[in-house]
Amino acid sequence: MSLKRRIQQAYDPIHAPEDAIERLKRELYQSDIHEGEDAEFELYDVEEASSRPGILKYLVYIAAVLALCVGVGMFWNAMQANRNELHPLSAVSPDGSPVPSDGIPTPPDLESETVNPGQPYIEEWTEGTVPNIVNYHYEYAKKIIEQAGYAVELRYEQNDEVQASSVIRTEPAAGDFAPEGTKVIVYVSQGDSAADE
Amino acid sequence: MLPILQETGGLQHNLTPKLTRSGGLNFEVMDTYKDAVYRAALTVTGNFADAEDIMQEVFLQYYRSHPDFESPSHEKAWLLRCTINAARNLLRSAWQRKRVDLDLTELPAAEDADAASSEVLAAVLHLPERYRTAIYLYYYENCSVKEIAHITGRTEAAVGQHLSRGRMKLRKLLGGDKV
Repeated sequence: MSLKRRIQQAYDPIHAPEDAIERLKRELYQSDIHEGEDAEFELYDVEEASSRPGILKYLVYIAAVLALCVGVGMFWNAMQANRNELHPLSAVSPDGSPVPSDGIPTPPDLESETVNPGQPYIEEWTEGTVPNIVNYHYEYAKKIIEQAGYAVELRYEQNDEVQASSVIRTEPAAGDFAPEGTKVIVYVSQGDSAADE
Repeated sequence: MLPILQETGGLQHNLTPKLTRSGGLNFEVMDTYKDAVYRAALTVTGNFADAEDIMQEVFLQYYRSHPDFESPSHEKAWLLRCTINAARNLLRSAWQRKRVDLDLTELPAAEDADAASSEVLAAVLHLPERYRTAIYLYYYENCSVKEIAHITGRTEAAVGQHLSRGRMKLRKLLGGDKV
């Protein structure tokens, strides 16, 4: 007798238990299953069987999203810290508005408004050197020098090329290396002497 | 016609609707395939109670998910695939791994068939799971190697190897009979 015939004879007497079938039919009737009502069953695909359980998969998704949020937050904080560290004088203009990169900020009008206590703006500055504040209003320039870590002494002189109240030059000159605490003499223009006469 | 289609009887031409015209559930699929599903589950699990549970689980899944099939052969293949994968999941569970082997004296074949048939069934169920699944599908469900590969999720080469080794082991278990 062939193996196929013997196996068929062995399996033929095995039948699904009728009581289990009847119970299943009753259960299906009571569960009120209708067409189009997709159940939350997982298909027993081969790939699914070898993968992680469903709840663990969702936990992994949630953890990934949380890790992404934390990463973005840390990156943002690091960027802010880096920006403040590298450019301590480059945050905002005196009035808090964005400053155009191609020009010297307009000095505040001392008669109508005061200098904003926010950080003054300067385009380029290397730590350890005297900032370039030529042509800046002297109050604005004073804040810049003080924030750079230097002491300020104002001296006034007449100058027909630089507008009154603006800085003519500094000692040490802009860009010179100077240790922190060095006194920087700021020469402020008093305007054209001929015009006064 | 594919060999698997020969077993589907009245379902060869029309797919069985899941609902009757009155809206009730149509149990023709269950009545047609219940034995095939139960035997496949028994072959994989080697346990009657587990086979019953698997059968109920598979038919519940069938009626709740309402899968659409191109042909009756796909329908039967889907049921067998679900059955085998559900049974494999059960075998993988920690609880199942601690269980003792099947008591072969419980085999119903001993009541209705002769001792030789019971011996063959016991020998088949003593084979490793991948071998006995391939042997059952090939010799009893008349599936081709390609169909077995699709149902079990293995390659055709692997299925051919499982059939070959399963036959060799069966020959040893059946006392050197020519199989």
